[in-house]
Amino acid sequence: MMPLPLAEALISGAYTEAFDPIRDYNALYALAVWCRRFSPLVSIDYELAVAHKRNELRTLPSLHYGITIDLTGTEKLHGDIDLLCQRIDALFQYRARICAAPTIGGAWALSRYGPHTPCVARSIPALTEALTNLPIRSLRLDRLCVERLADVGMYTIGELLSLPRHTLGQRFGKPLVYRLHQALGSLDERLNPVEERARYERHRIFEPPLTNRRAIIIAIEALFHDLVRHLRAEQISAGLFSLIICDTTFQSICKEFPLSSATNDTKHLLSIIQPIIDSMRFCGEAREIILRAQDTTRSIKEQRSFTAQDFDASEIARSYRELLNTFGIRIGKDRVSFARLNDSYIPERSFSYESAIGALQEAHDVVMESPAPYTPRERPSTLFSTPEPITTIAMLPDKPPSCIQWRDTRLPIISGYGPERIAPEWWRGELRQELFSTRDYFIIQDNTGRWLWVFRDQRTHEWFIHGSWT
Amino acid sequence: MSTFLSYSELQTTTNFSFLRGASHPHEYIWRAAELGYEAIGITDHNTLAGIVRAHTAARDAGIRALIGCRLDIDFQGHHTSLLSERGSEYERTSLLVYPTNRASYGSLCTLLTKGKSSVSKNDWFLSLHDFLEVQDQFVTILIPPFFQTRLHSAASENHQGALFYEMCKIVRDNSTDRLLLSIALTRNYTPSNRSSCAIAIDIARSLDISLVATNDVYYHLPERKPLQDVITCIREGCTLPQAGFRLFQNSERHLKTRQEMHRLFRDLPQALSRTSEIVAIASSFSLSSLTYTYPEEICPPHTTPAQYLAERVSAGARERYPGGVPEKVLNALDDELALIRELDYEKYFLTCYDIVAFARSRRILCQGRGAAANSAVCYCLGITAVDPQQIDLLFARFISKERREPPDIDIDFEHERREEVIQYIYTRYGRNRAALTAEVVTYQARSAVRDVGKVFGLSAAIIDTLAKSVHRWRGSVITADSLREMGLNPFDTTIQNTLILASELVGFPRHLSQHVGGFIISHSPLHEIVPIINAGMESRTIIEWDKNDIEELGMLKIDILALGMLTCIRKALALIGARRGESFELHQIPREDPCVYDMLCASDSIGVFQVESRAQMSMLPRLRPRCFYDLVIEVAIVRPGPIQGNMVHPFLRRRNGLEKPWYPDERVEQILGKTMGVPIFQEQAMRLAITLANFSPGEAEKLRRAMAAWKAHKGVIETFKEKITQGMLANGYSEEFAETCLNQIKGFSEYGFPESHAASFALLVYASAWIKRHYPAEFACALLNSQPMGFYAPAQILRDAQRHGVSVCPIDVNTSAWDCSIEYERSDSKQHLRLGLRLVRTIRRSHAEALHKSVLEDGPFSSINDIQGRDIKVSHATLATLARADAFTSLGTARRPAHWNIHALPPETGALDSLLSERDSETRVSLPPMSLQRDMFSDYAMTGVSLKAHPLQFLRAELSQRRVSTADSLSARYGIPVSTRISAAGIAITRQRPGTAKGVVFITIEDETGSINLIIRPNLFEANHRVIMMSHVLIAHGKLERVGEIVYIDVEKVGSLDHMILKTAQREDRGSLPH
Repeated sequence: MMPLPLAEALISGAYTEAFDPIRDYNALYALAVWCRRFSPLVSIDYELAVAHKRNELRTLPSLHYGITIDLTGTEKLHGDIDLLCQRIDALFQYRARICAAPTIGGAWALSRYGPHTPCVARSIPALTEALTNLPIRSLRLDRLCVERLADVGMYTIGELLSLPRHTLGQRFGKPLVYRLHQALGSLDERLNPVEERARYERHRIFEPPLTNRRAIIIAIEALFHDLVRHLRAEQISAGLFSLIICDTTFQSICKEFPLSSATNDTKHLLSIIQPIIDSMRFCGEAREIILRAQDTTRSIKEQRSFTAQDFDASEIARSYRELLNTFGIRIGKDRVSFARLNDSYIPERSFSYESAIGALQEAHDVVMESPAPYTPRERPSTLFSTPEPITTIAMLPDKPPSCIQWRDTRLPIISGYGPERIAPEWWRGELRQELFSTRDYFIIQDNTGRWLWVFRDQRTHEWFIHGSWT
Repeated sequence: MSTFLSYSELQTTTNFSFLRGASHPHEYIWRAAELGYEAIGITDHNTLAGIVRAHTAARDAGIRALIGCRLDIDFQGHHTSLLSERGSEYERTSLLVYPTNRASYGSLCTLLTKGKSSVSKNDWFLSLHDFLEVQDQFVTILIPPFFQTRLHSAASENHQGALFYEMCKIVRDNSTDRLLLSIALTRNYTPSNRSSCAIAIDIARSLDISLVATNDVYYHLPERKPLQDVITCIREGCTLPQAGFRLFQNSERHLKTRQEMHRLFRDLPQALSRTSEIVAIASSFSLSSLTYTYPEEICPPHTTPAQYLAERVSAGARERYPGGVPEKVLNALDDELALIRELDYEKYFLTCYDIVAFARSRRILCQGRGAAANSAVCYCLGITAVDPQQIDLLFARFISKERREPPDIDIDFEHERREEVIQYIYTRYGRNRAALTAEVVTYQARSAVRDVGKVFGLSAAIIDTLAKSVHRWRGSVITADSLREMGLNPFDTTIQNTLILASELVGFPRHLSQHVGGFIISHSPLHEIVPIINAGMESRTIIEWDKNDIEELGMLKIDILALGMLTCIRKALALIGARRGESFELHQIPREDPCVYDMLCASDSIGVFQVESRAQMSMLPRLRPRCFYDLVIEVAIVRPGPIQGNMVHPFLRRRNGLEKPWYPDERVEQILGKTMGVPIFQEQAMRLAITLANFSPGEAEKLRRAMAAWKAHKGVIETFKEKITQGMLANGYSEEFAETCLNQIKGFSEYGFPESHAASFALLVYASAWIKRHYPAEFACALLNSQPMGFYAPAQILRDAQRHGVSVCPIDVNTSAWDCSIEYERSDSKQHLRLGLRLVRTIRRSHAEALHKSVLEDGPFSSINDIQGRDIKVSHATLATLARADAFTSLGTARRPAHWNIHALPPETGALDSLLSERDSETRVSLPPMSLQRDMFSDYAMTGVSLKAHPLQFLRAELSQRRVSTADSLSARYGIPVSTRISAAGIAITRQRPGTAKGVVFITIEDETGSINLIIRPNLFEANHRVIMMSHVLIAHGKLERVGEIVYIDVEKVGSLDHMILKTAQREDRGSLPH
């Protein structure tokens, strides 16, 4: 372990990537599913699955990233087991440690700590022999247990086997006995087979294929209702729906419906999806239609409030979300954005536009770290995107101009307040790059009664107009 | 024109309002003086911590500093109609107060003490009620809240306005003198400023309260705005881009010119003239009028302190000199007592005497150090231990008439028992009258880089890299090259800004902590002199000022310090007493024992006080101490001061007769004669200034102080330089000689020892060396029982003891007590040192003592089951710890079988389980035996000591192949020629990088035959920083060098052998496999 900057200093231009256990997990899972071609019973480590469920992948030792395949009864299919191991090894494009053994525990130990790979133990005695020299931690034991065994001088499974078996449980805990017996085959152990993960999917095969546009739309709608019913029953919301239509030539049309926020509201979904389906063009026949719900999350049941005020608030938030979904599907999610206030004195930085994607959850609970020091009436209702230069007649520092000239128009000023002095955010390097210097802002009123926001650049002494009140 | 503009700033926040103000108090003062201000008020937030510095700076700058404070007040309990309407629990508002006289200053301190005592550290609560009670004593300036509170809407603005109106009204109605009350007005170019000023003016008019112009400053120059932003972020725990509106909008909060202030308030001239009125009232109080009295109850009734002191001193003198008090001492006593009388310090000396007498009565060893050892009175009172007859005392170093500064007495106590003394002081004088002084913890380069880096949002890894590269001992600036070396871009603005601002932040106070032992005791309640706050530690209170502040104000301080060596000596004396069968005291140690000096000359000094460091050990054979005074020099010479003043080599040459001492005249010879013409002690530097350059003793003391603070205030010493040169030239010395003298005096600026202090320490050096020479077993035992202390770990202390013929017995549950002990019952003549259970890591003292008690009462344990069977509550975890430490050998059980048996013990809880499953603890199994190597490693892991083997001996075969020499083979008696290229390997036991060695690192490594000294040059160190600092086992290649008996290697190449050690351990793992 060394800190990243040090590593980068040692090897300049080293390619680095952040550790992403979830991605690793997903890749391994996909690989396990792929391995079902060898046997229907394929599993990932039980510890790995548990850690994933508890969101503790980060702390799990990498030893647990492994796949177990149950080959029982597949001998006829694969022929010699050595050959099979070599085949699997060759199929993988990366280095894998492969081992075949009569017990899961034995295979686990040999594949992790065995002397070579691929490694095959054909019988229990052969396995026992092979395990003798392996360290005790290859029995899938926790650190404490391994340490306690080390305290009495036990380092290998062989040494452990030489001890009277009946005393082990009370001294070092039941797990040790279980693991030992599981490895040696005197205790049964089961796999938790993996399954394909597209759980929220409905498909229908049409024989003969559908040719009628109306029939296709009805079929899609039926699938849609079926899927959403299923989602609702499981209290699942989806953020992405995809529709796949395969024709007889196995070419397919694929249409995706990305949503800004996950939902399972039938009415709302229909209102978004139906117009698009109606406008879709189908060519040829539809042999199979698949509707899949992805990016699923557990849907949170919102309890409606009794008080009218809160009810309105949650209702507004809900309809706001639905509006954004509709906009997003119609004109593209990335084209919808909203404005938010920022904690900055600099007028240009006091707000920003943000994409509506994913920002919705926080949209109605944006908390400013500290309240703004100015009141809304002290900022113009229209802020120009860039300040426009003006010429002025100004008397003194700290005094508003008595007359300004803006875009060839001469405006006599009848009253004004100020200045408000705004210093640059020096830590952005602005002091050095001279992008921004201290400004003195004045609120002034011209002879037509219009209020304007002007400032004087402290460094160049030039005047600009930056906004107006309507 | 400008001469008519008068202005005083009355609202200033310094950096003693931690993480708020961005300028030092003295910076404000200097700037205010520069701007021609009439006065400047210092108003830190709920604290007076910075005022003494402001006061001092103002005195030097010739400007008036008004002592004030900004108080945050809670409305809680004041049920105004507005509050109940709003329903909030309380509102906080702020106001400035300036005391007008000594009594009102006392009330302010009491108020601050109150505000801080009721809540936890760093928190504050003061109710309006508390304030109103004492309000009339202060000049009060109300601060409209909207300058600080940000608003969202007009409604809340009105609410704030109404609230402030209410507050003003309450305060006005409570006040009897309208002169003392004002409302502050600040014009700071913020958007809400205009309306809030208007409201404040309205309120002032309607309530008939005067307005006063202020600028509410947070830094003295506008250029400090970035630093202010940074500390705001540190305070709020956010990064700069996140900080948003928590920062100030612009950089207007600095000290502005008078013209500018007059321009800003041109419409309100009365608010400007009000500042002068307030200055006139508030300047009637100054910190110089703080008077302070020592406690009075230390004398018995019907005696004056002077009589009592004289009586105690003469009684003490008779005791110290049973054969009659020498003339010289009598004279010194008379002179000192007269001066003490004149300066009225009797009570101070009696207070110290009282504390020392208490320690004696509890048999706690104590000894005064520092300048106090210059006093014969202190010697007679038993405060110090340096006989004035033996060395030449300079009483002026301790007390001088013209300085009128209080003497400073530092007393060391046994480190394990100092708390008893501290609690005695608290009970004797009460918490109202005794408190510890504060220590102002300031930002160091490392902490500044860490905090500033976070504010700039640098990643933890980069901050770590930056912080680790700031070598604390050098404090140098990071160069572009070294940044590149760390893998950072030196042109990155963020990193540049971080480094610039971090270096600005260095020296800023960060928080108050407690001083190591500086006690302040007064006759009148202390909280009327200075606010008292709760310290981080339970049952400790501290005042807000540090020792410099106190000194500045002439207040008494006694340093109650802890010294591990005193604990060690006391324990060793007790053991020696037990062996001799009669009590043995420190003063019974025979003086000037030649064997002791023989031992020291051979640099055999591991564990001996002070002279056990690498630098001292290499100095011992060169200096060859033969008498007590040589030890005094030895202690003082290996210090940055003498080393940087280039005094060491001339002294050694002269002492070894290679050069004759030379004196320009008799006067110099008198001063420098005893140190061969080379100034080594601070007193000599002072005397030189007095005699040669016509300094008065007071000036000389000032010079010494300037030298001590030279680093902090560069340039101060330059003023003295002029004076010394002029004075010496006037006295007829050559310019060249003046230059040499000056450089030597300057050398003391780093760190010099007063002779009296060196003498106090030398006493302990001699005492500990004597014990080590004559009672090595007792000495090692006492050292181990006083850990942690000193330079060496238990393993080294034990190996040293073994070299001196002590036999060391391992830890054993049947014989070891908590402490290490000496065993006598053996028939052979050797001394046996039995290691105690305290060496075992993670063991609880109560468990260890319970075990030992059981052994003493019911006889030795026969088995582990026996331990469990007896009625002592020892957990399985403790037993396992003991097993790991191999403490069951007397039960015939080695580590592994012991663990085996412990695992089979019935569980401590869950009785049901034990009923259900049958336990067989008696199953005999043959566990694989432990190899010596693993045994040794386990010993090290659990106790830091192994009596079985040395780790290096397992590598020896391999090392011999690589032609690595042993320590023994390098020793001088084999006569390997100097400059031979050799290699050596060993465990790194000490690494030292003294500030004086220009970056050279001294390392001692140890193999199974002895220790080897390495010298690592700066370049090599920089290149192998990690290896050298992190490795446990080092291998070094380089040239053999020799000075006298001492052999060292000038290292050219260094590496780590940690991996080899690990490999041998792993090999052993597999070693038991049936291959």
